[in-house]
Amino acid sequence: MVKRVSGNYLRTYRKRSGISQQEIARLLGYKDQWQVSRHERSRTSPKLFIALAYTKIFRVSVSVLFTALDGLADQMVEENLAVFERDLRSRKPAGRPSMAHKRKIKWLDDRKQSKETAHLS
Amino acid sequence: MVRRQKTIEGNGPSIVAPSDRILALEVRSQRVGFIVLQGRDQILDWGIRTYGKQEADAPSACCAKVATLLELYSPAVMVIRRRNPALKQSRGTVRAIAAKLAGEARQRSISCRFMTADEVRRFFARYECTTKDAVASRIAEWFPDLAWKLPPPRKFYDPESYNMAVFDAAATAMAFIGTND
Repeated sequence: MVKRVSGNYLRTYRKRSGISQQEIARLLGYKDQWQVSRHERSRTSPKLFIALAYTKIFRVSVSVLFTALDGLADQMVEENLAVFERDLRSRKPAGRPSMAHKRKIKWLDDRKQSKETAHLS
Repeated sequence: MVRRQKTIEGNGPSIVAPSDRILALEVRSQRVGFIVLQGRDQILDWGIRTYGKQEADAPSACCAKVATLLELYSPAVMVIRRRNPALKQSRGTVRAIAAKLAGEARQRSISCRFMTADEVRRFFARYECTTKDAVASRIAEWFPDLAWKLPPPRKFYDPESYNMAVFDAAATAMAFIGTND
């Protein structure tokens, strides 16, 4: 279950456009505005298809619209990757390290490097 | 002499971090205008919440409406314009509502500040805005997202525009930010 987080910008972008919840609901194919209201208040998270539809309506990326959820996903993945990397590096293969093992280590290093480069730029 | 804003708990910290959210409220009888700012220049939400006519229930009803905003945006500061105590309507309901709202904010560990009408007026006098319409126009310039809500200049025989409460709340927020710089 996705943790309830406040910090999406659906309402802000909708208000900027002057469009009502009912009109957005119609654009998304809902019968009424209640789902849109729930999404705006972070009561429920939209399905992937609906989240993509929101990005098409407002012409901004998912990470901009759902900032808190994006942050939460980032935090979760980074924490789990750190544990994964620690396990991977501490695992001593019986013989020679397999190609897959080497590949994973290299991928993790590349990922870290690209993240640092992106951060610096 | 520069007066500091009074908080409910006394004089709190006067500086708001640039990324902090500010909820500014304009309490009127039967409705409350609000604006939510992130930092100084990003506007997150604005609008008007109505809370009905029953005078005895008014503070609780208004508080319930504002509580949804506090929950949704978790602002660092809530700013309310203090009404002129000489005005008849300020003596009763509106003042009780403001006190109740401040209590609600305190419960959620949100700092609550009161700005007097005079402080808001003095802040906008720097920008040569001396009338409500001029202040609202200036707000619409600063926040183009609000421009389409800007009411036309009021004639003396017209009632005040419904949307003016939003611009008054925005003016209070900007005056708060301006006096805390």
